[in-house]
Amino acid sequence: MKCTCTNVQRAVYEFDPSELSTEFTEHIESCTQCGAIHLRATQLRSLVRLKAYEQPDPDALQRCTSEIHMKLVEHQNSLRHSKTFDTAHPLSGWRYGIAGAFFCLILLNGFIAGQLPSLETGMTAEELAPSRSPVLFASTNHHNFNIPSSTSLFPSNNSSGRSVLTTFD
Amino acid sequence: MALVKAAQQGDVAAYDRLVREYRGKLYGLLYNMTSNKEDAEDLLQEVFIKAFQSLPKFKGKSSFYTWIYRIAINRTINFVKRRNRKQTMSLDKVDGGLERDPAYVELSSRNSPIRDAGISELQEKLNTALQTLSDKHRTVVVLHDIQGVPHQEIAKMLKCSEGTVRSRLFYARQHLQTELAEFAP
Repeated sequence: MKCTCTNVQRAVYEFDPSELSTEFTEHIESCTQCGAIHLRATQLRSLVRLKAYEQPDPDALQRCTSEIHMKLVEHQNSLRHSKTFDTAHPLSGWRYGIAGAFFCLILLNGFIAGQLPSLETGMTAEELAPSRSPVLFASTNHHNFNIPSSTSLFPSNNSSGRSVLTTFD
Repeated sequence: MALVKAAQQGDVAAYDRLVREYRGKLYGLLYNMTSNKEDAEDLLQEVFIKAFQSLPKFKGKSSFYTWIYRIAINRTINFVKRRNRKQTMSLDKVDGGLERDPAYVELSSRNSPIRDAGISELQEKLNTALQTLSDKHRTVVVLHDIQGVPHQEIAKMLKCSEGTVRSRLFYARQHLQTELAEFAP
């Protein structure tokens, strides 16, 4: 690097005083402007270094260390526990498989039941489900349409436990 | 290295010794990065726990010191980004040795603002000035100018070139010079 004022003035902020070449040091001693900048940079560095005198409360540091220790022991124990569990139950993977298969079976059962005709009425679940037309009638009922009671298909239970059909009035 | 190997096998007692060895320096880094002692304490715990969990991944390509510093720097920068808007300072006590420090004695004899300002005011000004730096610039100042970590080591910690470290130091110091103009005119 050429020993110019610009380079020297940059170097005093970029390098530590001990890292400056002899040429640069001699320039700083002879050039008033570069000397002043060098002094400012040195003062700044000394000022910032004073921050190292800020010290933590020893009790706080000790408390931190204890907390870290406790958390690590907890972490290790949980790891050990999970390892022990795996050793004691080597087929635990099978359990998930069996549970999954059982769940699929329930779903399949529900699906098949939905497709079979109802034992009471002889109608399938789809046929028993409320169609859209009664809703349409219900929403337009204020026009005084005469809706036959047989078209409203919302079943409800009466006190005798028999299924009855609700009518719209 | 034996302690690190033992800790990698899950030896908590060995890791405890590593914690005791590095907690002071790491706390200094975290405190100077955040200017908040409570945040520094929380981060210290977080860093040591994270490092313990990541120990199996530590291959020994760098020293444990460099590796854990890297974790601490990354965690702190993420933390500072999250909390940026609600930042408050909570400062540690200044060691009594400051008043006997040759640099302080010289600065206060030359410079009346330093002499006039109480130590706590000076401490607050220094912390405020540091917090005006960007995270990257503050990191290099804390590591080099406060903790005395060599440029080469900082470059390894930050995974950048030594030139980048020096360039960041240049800009950080120029900025601090303006911020602390009353103390270092």
